[in-house]
Amino acid sequence: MHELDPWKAWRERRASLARQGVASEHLDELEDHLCCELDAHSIDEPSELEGALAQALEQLGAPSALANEYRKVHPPMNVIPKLAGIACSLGVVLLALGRTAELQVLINAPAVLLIGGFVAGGLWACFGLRRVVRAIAAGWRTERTMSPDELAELDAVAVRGSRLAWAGGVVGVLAGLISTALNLSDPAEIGPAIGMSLMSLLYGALLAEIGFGSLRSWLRNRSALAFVSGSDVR
Amino acid sequence: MITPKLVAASSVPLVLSILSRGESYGYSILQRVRLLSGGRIEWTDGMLYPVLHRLERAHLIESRWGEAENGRRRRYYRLSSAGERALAAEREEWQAVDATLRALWAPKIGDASHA
Repeated sequence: MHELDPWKAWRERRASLARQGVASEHLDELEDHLCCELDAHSIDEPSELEGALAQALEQLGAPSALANEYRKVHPPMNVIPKLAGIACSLGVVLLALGRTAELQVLINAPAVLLIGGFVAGGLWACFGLRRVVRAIAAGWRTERTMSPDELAELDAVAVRGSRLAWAGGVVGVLAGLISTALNLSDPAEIGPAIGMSLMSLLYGALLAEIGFGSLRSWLRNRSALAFVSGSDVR
Repeated sequence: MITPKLVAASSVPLVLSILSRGESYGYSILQRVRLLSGGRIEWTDGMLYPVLHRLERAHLIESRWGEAENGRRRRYYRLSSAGERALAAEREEWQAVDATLRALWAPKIGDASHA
């Protein structure tokens, strides 16, 4: 004979939420909420319990929407995937160059200076040093919620930084090509100039997409922490 | 029924106000809001908890795990001193909105005589 298991639906819901990253202590809290809801009804039969629990689960909200709200408040720690992504990108570039044993092939001091200087200088020119430092400092304080103004400020810096990084890469290519053209008579100068040119573009792309791109995706998570977000309770 | 946007906007002052009366927990907060609003403010139960956690991360409320009267483990929330200040600011803002709307919607002198 089929035995009624009224709590099965909750166990399945709990497992589903756990798979979507909701922490165990938060699930315990939801479970206590369900128990309170059921305590409010005087239930004698398991079939009644099953019905009341189904109703309480419905009132709890759809699992995906609920897990999404939890993720906004407790964004998963994603430093390791980010580092793995960066390492993977660099590894692919090394593989493409066929020089897996030589990491120094990816290090080009003039290109680093060019991209770093171009982005830093561009941000300074666009926002002023104080605003840039203030925006970065606000993002650094992970222990508290950022205000919507701080989020918008840091997002503006990230967007501009990304554009500047790409532009820096293009400037590096042009500078390298000009240098090559000016030194055609000296073959020893051509290699480093072309190297700087291509590495500038590589650094620009990496900084724009992995550096500032990651910052923007992180900000999108944090922006959900702004209080009146329109998705607070409903 | 109150629109979801207004429900969302009012969630923070409502939670802070309830906790200003003393320590409480999720289910009790929901019941209190339902009772006081006469059922017009309808929250999706589960969504209250992320709001509570958000307020806690902003240091406006504090929480502790305790034991309920029936022996179950329960998370209790209380207002922090930063929360008290935030509530005072919220109260001022909502009262300004309330006063403005009341002034706009108040019947004009002489309206009754025209009716």
